[in-house]
Amino acid sequence: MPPADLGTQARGFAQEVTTLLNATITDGVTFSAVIGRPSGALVLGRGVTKTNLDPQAVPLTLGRRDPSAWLWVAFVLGPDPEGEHLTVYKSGFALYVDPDRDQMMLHYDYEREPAHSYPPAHVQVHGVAQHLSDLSERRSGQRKDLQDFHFPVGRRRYRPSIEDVVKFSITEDLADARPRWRDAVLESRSRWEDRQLRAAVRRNPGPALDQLRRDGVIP
Amino acid sequence: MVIESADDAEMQEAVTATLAAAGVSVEELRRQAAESRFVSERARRAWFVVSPFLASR
Repeated sequence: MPPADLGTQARGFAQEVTTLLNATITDGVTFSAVIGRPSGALVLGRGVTKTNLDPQAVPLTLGRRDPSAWLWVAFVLGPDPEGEHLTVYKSGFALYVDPDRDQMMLHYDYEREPAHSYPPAHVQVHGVAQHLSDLSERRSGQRKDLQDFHFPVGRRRYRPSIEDVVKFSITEDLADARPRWRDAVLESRSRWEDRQLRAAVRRNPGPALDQLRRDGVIP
Repeated sequence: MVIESADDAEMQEAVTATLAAAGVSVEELRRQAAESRFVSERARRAWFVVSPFLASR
């Protein structure tokens, strides 16, 4: 079956993200996107338009209470090198104290081709980590704050997903959750893992074929 | 979901507006991105959304 066109794939991807969020920790959130021509690169987030590329943060509330926090969700998507499959080139999930997105708590970042030498998938946390800061100062003479450290969190195929951030927000009691949030997270994560597995096999079919032969699935 | 399509000129306009809102130039932002140390949250977010469209600058 040929892959759907990239616009359709992007729409489906956005629908999956909004379904997950509205089934767990948000209420009535929608996303929009701008696709740049001719590159096909697409910025996806809440409130994204041709005149505003910076996504708004999503209030973490189920509708009745004041938001406990704000979640910034952003993706840069685009076609893979073959132009067939939608690929995540960047993802960002950040938790803020305020709706203006000035007071950050933490952010998970992924860049397929980062401009820096830090891990492509990392988490940065705002706060104080005296031992880390002391060590950095002893080593380099320059004191780094906790937020300056890029903690690695897996690589291209096995990085944290939006489902992990949703679950983190709930299990650490940073946000209220709908009663069936576990089902929504499991369902969405299963789709994510299938997609990542397919991408991994497309790029490196040898080990997959070898394992299927060993298991007797294929001759 | 709404997906808007922007041609190169429109996208460059959006990039310029994003940089202006963040109060940084392309050169400053590239430098900050290379060190992954941004002067502000706005600058960090600006890099996220504009970097795919900076090739022609």
